[in-house]
Amino acid sequence: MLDLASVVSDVRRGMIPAHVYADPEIFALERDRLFARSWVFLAHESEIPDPGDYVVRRVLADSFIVARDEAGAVRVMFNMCLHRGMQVCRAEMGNASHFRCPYHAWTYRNDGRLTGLPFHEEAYGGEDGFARAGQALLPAPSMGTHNGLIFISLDPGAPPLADYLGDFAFYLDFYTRQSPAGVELRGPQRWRVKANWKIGAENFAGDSYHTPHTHASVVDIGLFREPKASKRKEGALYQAGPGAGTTYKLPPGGDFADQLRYVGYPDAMIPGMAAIWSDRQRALVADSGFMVSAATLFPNLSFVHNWPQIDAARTVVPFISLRQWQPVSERETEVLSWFAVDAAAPEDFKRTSYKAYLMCFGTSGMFEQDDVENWVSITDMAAGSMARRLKLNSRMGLTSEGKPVKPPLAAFAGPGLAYQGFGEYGQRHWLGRWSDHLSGEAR
Amino acid sequence: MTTARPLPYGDQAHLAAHQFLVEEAALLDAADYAGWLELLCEDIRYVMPVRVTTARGAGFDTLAGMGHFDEDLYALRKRVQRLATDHAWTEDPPSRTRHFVTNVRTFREEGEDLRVESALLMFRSRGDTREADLLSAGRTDLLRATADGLRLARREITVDESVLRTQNLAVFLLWRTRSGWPTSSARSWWSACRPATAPGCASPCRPPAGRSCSARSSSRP
Repeated sequence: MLDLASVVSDVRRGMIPAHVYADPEIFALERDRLFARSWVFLAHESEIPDPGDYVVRRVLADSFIVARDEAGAVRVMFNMCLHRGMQVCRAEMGNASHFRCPYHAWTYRNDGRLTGLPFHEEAYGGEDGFARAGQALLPAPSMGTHNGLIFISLDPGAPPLADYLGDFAFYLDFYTRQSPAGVELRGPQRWRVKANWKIGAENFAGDSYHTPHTHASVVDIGLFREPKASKRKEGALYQAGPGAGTTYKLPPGGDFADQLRYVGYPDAMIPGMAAIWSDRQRALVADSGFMVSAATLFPNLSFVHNWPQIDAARTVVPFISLRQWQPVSERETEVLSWFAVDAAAPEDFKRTSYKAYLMCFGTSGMFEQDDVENWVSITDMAAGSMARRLKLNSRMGLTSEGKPVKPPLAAFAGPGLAYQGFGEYGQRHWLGRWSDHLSGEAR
Repeated sequence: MTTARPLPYGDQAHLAAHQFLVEEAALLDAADYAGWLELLCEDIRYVMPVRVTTARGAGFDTLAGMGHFDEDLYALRKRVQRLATDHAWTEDPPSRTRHFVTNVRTFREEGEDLRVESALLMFRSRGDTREADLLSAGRTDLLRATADGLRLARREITVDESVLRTQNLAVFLLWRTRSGWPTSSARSWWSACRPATAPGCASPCRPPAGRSCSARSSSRP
């Protein structure tokens, strides 16, 4: 029997009852108290550039059509026919002016409005029996966009997206706004892993500690120019609003352009970043000397920015990936992984950055392979009886009194708190939000 | 001369192509990855598009600009090198895999080149508690005749799932590299790759005249 108060209390002090990574009761609470309320990422506007373009995405079991209507507006509609509940659109992407239900041919425009109802007069007696006017596929209860990222919430009373993103919006720009042209997404690769969805989300929120060992193989083969173990502990770990992430320390002495060149950005892209990022955002790179790497926006959207060597000439090229941990059950997750690149980037950069992505992340990525092996194994171990007796220590960076071992960085240009060195600050930050939702304290 | 119909199954070229695939499989089954790299042309392009569910009339069933693989020889060598380290956890302990290669059809391309289509069913079992994975795919290969025999110049893998049910593709190139039939998108990719500088090709699709693939000791990880 689940003692939720005890679980939440343990989680809040950084001792994680291991069963939460394979517990159907916890999963039901996550569905009802977390995913029923939180803002959740669905798609990016660049995936549906033209009127009629659509993709179909889910929030757990709920399928939504994300479409650009004929007027160019983004619409998010529950993919269930008003009549008998058939899934209206069964493709995952395409272009359509209307969606016609296969069952009885009720037909909806790509803005959701019901326009076609066969034998309306004969079957219903026309408007008198069934008022067609004003009928539409159920819209997402709340919808918002930021940098082209389309989010929805199943809670009609959700706070505005901008309020939700809060201080994390500062960091979001590094991944999704590198020039006025914005970012374009390609993908997603999709695959199912037998792992609990929280593990990946926590990992990206702040686990710099796993890099030296889990990813030793990519260092062994020279995919990176520097040894990850020593570089990783020099990075700052930040927690801001609903997000948290990791950074790498850049070499001393460089200015803003030098630091972007160091991670492989071509000169053609540097003015875009210089123009669109705020003084404070540029200062994070140039003065604080940190470059963002992995991050998670609560609950289940993660980001990664890295800069491998992609050819025999050891050319360093950065890439960005967005990834979503879509829960299937307490023991299975669908991973969606996109490649993201500045829409105004030179074609040659887009090509090489894509290569860098494929080598490192996604279904075949040499980083991601070893991550998923670990996460599947954790989920497997968490399902038994003994896991209910084990609390996983997630207190790295805290003293026994619960104080930070080291003070936060004073010279860190970004909002929120940041710590240098290893520590599970980001994971606890994420788990704190999780606890708020499960205990019903979230707002 | 390009043939539109497959070569007769008794044709020497078909037999050679079929044998190439079986011998390649034997190398991989023996975990001889360095030997496998020797079978690749220096300008190899190894791609696996992401399949998507689309309406019948959509005219496409793969994502534009995104694959599971889009590899050159450098990237493939890195993957092989990685698995040879002591830290490639996802395949240590290794998966138990078996690939079933069938439906081999050979078409004559320009010169001595052969286009070979095959089908693959891949079984993968890990550990003692997890369900095994099955992965079904088609494959279209371009085999180039060289002084050292046939070498792989192009491979397109057409996987039959939109959402893969396996934890990663760590083993795919090593164990699952052999099958294919051309979908409409594969055909267009194929024909687009014929000219030396076709759009969408990361590198020229054919080596300069006179250059041939040769065995390269330097390709060993």
